[in-house]
Amino acid sequence: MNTEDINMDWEKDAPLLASIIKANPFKVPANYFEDLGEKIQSEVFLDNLNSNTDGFKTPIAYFDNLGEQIINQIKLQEIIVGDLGFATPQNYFENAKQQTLKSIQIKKKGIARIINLSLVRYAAAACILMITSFGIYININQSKNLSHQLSEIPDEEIESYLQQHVDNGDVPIIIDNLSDNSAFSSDNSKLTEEELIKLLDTTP
Amino acid sequence: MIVEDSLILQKFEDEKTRNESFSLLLEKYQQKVYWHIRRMVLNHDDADDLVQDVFVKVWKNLINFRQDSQLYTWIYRIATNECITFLKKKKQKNNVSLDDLTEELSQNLNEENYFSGDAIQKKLQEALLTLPEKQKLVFNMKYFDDLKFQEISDILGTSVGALKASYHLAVKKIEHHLLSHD
Repeated sequence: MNTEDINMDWEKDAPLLASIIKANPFKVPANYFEDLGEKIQSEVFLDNLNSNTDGFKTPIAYFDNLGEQIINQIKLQEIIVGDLGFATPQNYFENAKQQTLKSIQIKKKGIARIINLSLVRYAAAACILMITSFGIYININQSKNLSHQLSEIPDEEIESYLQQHVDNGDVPIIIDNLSDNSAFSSDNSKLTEEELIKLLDTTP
Repeated sequence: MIVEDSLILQKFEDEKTRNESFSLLLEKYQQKVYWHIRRMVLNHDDADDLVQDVFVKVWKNLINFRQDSQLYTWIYRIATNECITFLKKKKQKNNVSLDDLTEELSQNLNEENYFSGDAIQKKLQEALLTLPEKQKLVFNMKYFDDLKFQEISDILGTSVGALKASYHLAVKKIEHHLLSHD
């Protein structure tokens, strides 16, 4: 009696079990075994990629601790945002928009005032400058006109005017003016005899 | 055509024919491994995940396979260890007792999409759920896969004598269950 014969003895001890037809009672999805080989080969390929040293790696036990780290981060955020952290006045965020808009309007008004005041100052300065320039311009024009008008009067008329209207007090002025006149020498001490006679004749 | 294990191993050693070798290996063993796992975990989706894990391990370790045991016993050993680890994890994860786990697994027998057996076959599966994991493994490999005790011994690393005793004990428990729930 060999060992495998001994194994067959169980049929005598378990007749009901022995009477059951050996059949596979389990089912698998359709075409499962046709696709299984390919599925396994894909799995092997992915595993090779994962174990490849050139691929991405994570620190040791990274994924073991990842969940705990995320939970700690969430708790930390809750503490910061929650009652133990900084608080804001009631309805602060609801009213924040309106408050901000008001502040912007006030600033705009302030800026407009500043702009108006500056403009007035600049305008006033410009007016003063224009008036001053205009005055100077008129003054210069008048001086030029006087010289121009005098230059047009003939010398005989001037001489006769002077003979009729000049008095002793005008002599020094006339002498000064004579110095600019090319007809006479500028130095009184060097007056010629004719000039002196002429001067004395014209002086009343 | 059944490919010899020696040819599969020979092709696997050469990097150029490694993928071809692995395809041959899958063709030869994927169904056997799937059913071995399925009988242990009962649920198809769990079995599907596990069979993939098993063959990923086979791929990674086949290059170091020392031919001091048969290729299929080596693959069966990997599959068995994966099943045991999976069931332990499931127990720990759900924090359930063995009875609760048995109840959970037995629900898979009520799903028409995944179980097509008649009443007596369902009763047999329910009886199997009452066995300790190792006894169930021994029974499955002997009764359904028709493996020899020596081969089971190579897979589980248990003596042939202990396996025989374990098998007989399993048979008696199942017979008792079938009779008592008739």
